[in-house]
Amino acid sequence: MRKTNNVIKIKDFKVDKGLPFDQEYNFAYLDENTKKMIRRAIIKALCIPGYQVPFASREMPMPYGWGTGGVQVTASCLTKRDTLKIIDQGADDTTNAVSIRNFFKKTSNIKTTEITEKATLIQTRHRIPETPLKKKQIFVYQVPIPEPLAFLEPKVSETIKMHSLSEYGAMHVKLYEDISKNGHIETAYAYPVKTNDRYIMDPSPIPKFDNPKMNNSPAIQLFGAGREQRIYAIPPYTKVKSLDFEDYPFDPFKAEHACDICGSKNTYLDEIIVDDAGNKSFICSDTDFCNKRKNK
Amino acid sequence: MIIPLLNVTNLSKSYDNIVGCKNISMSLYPGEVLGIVGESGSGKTTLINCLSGNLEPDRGKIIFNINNKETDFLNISESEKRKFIRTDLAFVHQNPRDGLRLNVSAGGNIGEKLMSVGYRHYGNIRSLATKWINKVEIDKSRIDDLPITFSGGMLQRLQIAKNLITSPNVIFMDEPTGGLDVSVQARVLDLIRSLVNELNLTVIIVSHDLAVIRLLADKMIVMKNGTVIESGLSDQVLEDPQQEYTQLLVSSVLHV
Amino acid sequence: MYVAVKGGEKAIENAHNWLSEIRRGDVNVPNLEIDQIKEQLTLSVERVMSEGSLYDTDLAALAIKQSRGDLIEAIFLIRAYRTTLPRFGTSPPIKTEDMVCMRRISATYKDIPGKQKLGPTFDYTHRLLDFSLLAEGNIPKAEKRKVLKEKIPHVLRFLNKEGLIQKEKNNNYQPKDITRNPLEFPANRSERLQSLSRADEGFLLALAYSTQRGYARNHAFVGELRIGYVKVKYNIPELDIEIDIAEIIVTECESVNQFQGSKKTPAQFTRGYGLTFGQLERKAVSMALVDRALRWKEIGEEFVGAPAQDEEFVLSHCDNIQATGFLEHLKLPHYVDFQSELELVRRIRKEYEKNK
Repeated sequence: MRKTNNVIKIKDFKVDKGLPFDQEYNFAYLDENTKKMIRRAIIKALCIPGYQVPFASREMPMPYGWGTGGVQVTASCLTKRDTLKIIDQGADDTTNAVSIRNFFKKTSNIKTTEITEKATLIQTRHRIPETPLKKKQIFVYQVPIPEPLAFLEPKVSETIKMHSLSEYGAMHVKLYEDISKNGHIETAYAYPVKTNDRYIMDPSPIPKFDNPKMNNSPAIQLFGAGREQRIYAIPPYTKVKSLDFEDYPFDPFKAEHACDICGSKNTYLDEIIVDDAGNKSFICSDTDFCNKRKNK
Repeated sequence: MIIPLLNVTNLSKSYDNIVGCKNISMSLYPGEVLGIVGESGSGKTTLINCLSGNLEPDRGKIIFNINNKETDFLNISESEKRKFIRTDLAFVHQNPRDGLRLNVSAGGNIGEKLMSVGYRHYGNIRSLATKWINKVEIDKSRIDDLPITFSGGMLQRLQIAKNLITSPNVIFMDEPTGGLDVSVQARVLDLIRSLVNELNLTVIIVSHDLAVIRLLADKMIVMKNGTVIESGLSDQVLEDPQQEYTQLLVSSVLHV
Repeated sequence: MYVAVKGGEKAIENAHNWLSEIRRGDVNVPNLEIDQIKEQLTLSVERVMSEGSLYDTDLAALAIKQSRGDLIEAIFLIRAYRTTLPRFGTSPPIKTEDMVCMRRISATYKDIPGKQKLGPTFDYTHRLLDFSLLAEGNIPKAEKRKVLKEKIPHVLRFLNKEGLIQKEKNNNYQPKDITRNPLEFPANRSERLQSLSRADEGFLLALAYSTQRGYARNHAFVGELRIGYVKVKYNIPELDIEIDIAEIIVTECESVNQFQGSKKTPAQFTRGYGLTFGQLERKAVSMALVDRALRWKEIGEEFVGAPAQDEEFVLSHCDNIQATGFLEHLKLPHYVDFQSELELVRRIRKEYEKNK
């Protein structure tokens, strides 16, 4: 193959030299200017809890919708001293978690862990770990649709106005409709919250069981939506309240079972079909928590 | 001394080079019903849209005085304005579909107005919605039905309920019976009249139909080419019109 | 007792190895060379460059090979590579009036200065399978002509002289690079055209077609379509000299659209603009029609609610890399959200049974 003249290899312009990882790319893949741009968006997001900050999302080597927002946020926060944990559906070993972890291993060569307490930075899709997050941890959510009002109003130019003027009445209409139809609020995941008494925010598609964990958390919570080009955040110790009615309070229910592996009664469970007759088994979705409990 | 609820001075609005309304001044007292009449294109819809915050006028002043609190409507921030519109004003559209969410139940539609001003108790919202659905003569068993299953007259009554439930201080109505069959118009008009009397509402109503004005309005203004050409008590203007144009309007009604 | 399945890592590795095998196919058939793709599947290569927003025929051909011929996948590979490239600067706008045309047609005038030139086109070919291509057939020779020295003027210039067509005003706006700045609404026309130029060809085609069928009909004529070589220049700041850094093929389409006039504007012709890398006629014409439909506000036309008029709708959904990613993410595990829905449906049904 003929070498083209107009292609310049990244390594010629690398900022960070001399590390034993894939030399083709900068530390944690993104170039330093992009990281700077993303860090600025993150800082702005932390200053205005729950507000969606537009950022110039980059094309990543994994598809949009597969965590590109989270990956960009993680890449921008990562330092060589960090210990990274990646989970998808609560588990460290699901295909997408494995794939993203390998991506960071390859591009940054940092330490990874499956143990929640040992991680300094955790990227997640769809769950918050059962082990409480602690001070100095950064918790990054992958977000598909950052706009909680999108189902009411698809136009971004309109939803921006609704947020800035706190016109949130219509948000409760959906909850009202649920109750009048079925006797309770039907939203089971991506259950909208109000952050710091100001912005209505989409918590990403975590089950509503996890919503209370966001409230007053000592960790920094960051949300990245790559395709939709938005970053938002919850600073440590911030009030996060799930929307509800006074007489129909928020109810973070889960399956009424205990984990068949570790016996835990108050963790979120995956349902597994174990035979052709459709018999079911329930196990913790947080694999790290389940392992620790079982081994105790 | 009674202070006017609404004071308008020299209000003007044009579109490119076409005059919408020009130098309109008027005032409205609590409990009054003001009718605005004129042919289509006379500027009455422009005026009501400026007063209700749907349009930004080019010049003039709009001052609301509600519970001894003066609001300079054109000189407040967008968020204050939206809040004022939510809590103190209401707008009944000619086409009820413009004022309702067709994919949300009747109760949800009425309830939205309450939730937008801060109601967060489902039971209270539900019982208020039921009360108002009854008040506008819709069977309360229909509360969970979608508006698309309603007739035109029912839709308009539902829109009225939605607008009145928060007890707004000024209610704007743009041809509220204009889109309805003649047979249905009477019932809706009757409902509006009884609500106005019962609740002592302050209303600005736009209509090209003098019969509607005669029935509802205490005072009226006649508009032509964007300006007010005659105003006064409705009975007076309708019985003894001074302007030739008004005379024509009145006589054409009498001839119908 | 049930033990949760482990081994995602191994599964991924195996899957990828299998993919490599399948990509190569029967090893008795010669390996496909990048040069073959580059020289013989030029329109694929050009589409990948256009929607990948990176003009490099070798990399595009490599991407096509790597993606087993799935062009959207190839575009994705190019995009992901493109983001990692450092930016040295911005070239001044290319001058399409200086284009060395290999094809140039106008549907509005029979004869024009610079002449009509059919060039290498599928137009007027009969769509009959050519079985001679199965063998190493003889290729007919095209007649050679000298390249014209003089510039070929844009056709719409003549309408412009008469004042019959909408004037494009220079608003001195410094265009924002949409790959470096988040797109915000309402968008500037420059950002709109950037988005359309890298948009999915099929999506633009469908939208353009919908305007022809009456969803915001804008009565388009192809005022001019030209395809050929243009020079890309670059000003080296340290030396302050302008040099040619590349010669690229682009397709440019200017549409002429009938317009009845509005309160704002008297009756006149209006325009839409399409520009793409490579020879992508279908896309350039589609782009011009969609651009024209999106200009309703500027002209004072009515918004009739047609998809092609809705800027947020068009620009938010035209990028096939965004679209395919979000669509394909449905294949990712959703155990947790599904579980929460499962619980909810069970609960609702239980209550329903109880109240029956």
